[in-house]
Amino acid sequence: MPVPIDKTLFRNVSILDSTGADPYPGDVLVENDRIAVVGTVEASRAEGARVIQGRGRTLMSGLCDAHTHFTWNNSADLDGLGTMPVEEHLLFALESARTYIDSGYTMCLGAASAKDRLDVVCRDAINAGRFPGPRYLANGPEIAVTGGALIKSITKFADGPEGMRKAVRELIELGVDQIKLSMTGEEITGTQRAEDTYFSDEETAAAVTEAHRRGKRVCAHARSAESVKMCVRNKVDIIYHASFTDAEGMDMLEANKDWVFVAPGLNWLIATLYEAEAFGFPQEAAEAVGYKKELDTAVKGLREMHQRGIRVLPGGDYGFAWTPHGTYARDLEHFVELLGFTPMEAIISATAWGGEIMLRPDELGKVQPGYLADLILVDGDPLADITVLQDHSKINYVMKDGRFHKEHAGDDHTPAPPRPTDLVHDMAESVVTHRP
Amino acid sequence: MTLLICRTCPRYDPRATGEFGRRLTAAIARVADNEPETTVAVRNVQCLGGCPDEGVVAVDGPQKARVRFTGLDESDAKAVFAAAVAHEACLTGAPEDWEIPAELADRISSVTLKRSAPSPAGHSRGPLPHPLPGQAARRWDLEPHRR
Repeated sequence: MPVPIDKTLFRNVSILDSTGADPYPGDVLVENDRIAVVGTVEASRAEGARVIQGRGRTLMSGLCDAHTHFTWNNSADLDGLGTMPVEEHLLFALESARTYIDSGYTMCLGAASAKDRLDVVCRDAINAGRFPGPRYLANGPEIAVTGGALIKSITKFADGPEGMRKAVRELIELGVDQIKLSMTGEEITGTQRAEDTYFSDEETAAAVTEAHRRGKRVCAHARSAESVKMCVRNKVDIIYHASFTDAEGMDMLEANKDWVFVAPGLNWLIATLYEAEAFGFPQEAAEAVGYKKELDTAVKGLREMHQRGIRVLPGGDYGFAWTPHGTYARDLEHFVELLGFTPMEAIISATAWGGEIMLRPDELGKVQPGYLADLILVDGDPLADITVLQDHSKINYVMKDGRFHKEHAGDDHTPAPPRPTDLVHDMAESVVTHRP
Repeated sequence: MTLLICRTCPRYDPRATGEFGRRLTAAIARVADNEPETTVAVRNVQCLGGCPDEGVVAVDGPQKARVRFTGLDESDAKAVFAAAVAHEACLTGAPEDWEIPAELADRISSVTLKRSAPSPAGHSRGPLPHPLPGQAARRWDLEPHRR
């Protein structure tokens, strides 16, 4: 007996496929969780499909945030990330996950968790279908050396190569997908300078070797010139910030661009410099501690990275009061306005390269046959105005794994019937069904 | 031209969150109806980060400074619309480069530059004395650096 196929047909859409090709009009057929046909869909193939009338709206891959913190809780101070009780913190993290997918983000790479298992639990809950959220690669607390923590209450401390190996092993035991090293300072701490490097080569090498031996990647908070070079020398897979990359570091990044990713978290720098006064950190203070200098230097370096073909991805350390969750697509505007990306390049960095950083380049980030059906339907043209992606009301549909997370209330269509798991999650279901 | 309207304000009152954005967007649409020659692209964005003084909008445009206003309500719709038009008409978007409606003159809460001037020689200007030597990370107690 043939297994029934769940079909959705997006008819008359502008297909922005993230291959670099200009958008073109056509139809896209989704069968179960994958994209089956792109361009022209034969009527017989689409028979029985639920039809979404695109009316020229843009169909594109869901977006990727390469520097995600579900557990950054929109706090107005750093300590607020650590003082929230675990029960409230879990609820907040799940709300963050929902906000990401509400915003059109279907891929997120965790850049550190404020408590040991929050990221891991969120990832597992999303994967089990119990809560909405993007595909997620979970992290644990960031590892720092004694005297090098940005926020002590959310840090896992380790010193020396042996200490690093032990910390990495403990985090892997928790179930993380990658390890975070906090290698440099951050000016807003008031004590740790961005250009100071706290890790040694030996410590970095030990952490990376141990993580890679267990099949896990390593990412790093690395603002200083020395830390960027230390990352490349020791094969840290994902470099966050890279603000003060010098000429030697730039050459090293270029020579290793086939494997290394840079995710600068650009919106953090911009918003902290210009927009945080309402929360007690005025522009004069931000400039005094060095954020203007850092932004100017970072923009210059990131423009050069882009010109040299180094993969620079959006993802902005969102989750502080002045960089709140839900504003993630500002990064794309910054890439266009500050880094010299064309809108097409910015979208490719947030989609196709998103598939690469999620380690699924042949399944995620493009509108191509065989790819997983993680799609958004946008009422507007992001190539003409990249800011349209900041307006959730313009992101009419969000689909993940071939199922709609969000549907546009203004469209005339028949809603799909809910799955049992939409109504009651597995654990509750088992309780309900076993009641006498 | 782009007018960004917060769809979360007031962020810290969950029962009323979104009300500001709905009301101001509707009021802007009414103003626009009376100005058929002028088009303002409204973006209802999640947050603009001016939350303590709720009622937040910003005017923005490619390669122009983003100027944020706070403490607004729907009665400010006409002034907000005029601000978006004036911002669009000027070259840089910086507040000194366009006429800010009088009702909004004291409501500017941030100016975000797209192209900041590079530091001398484009690089490090040497170590700065840290304003808070030895102080642990806490709420930003930076009075010496306030205006």
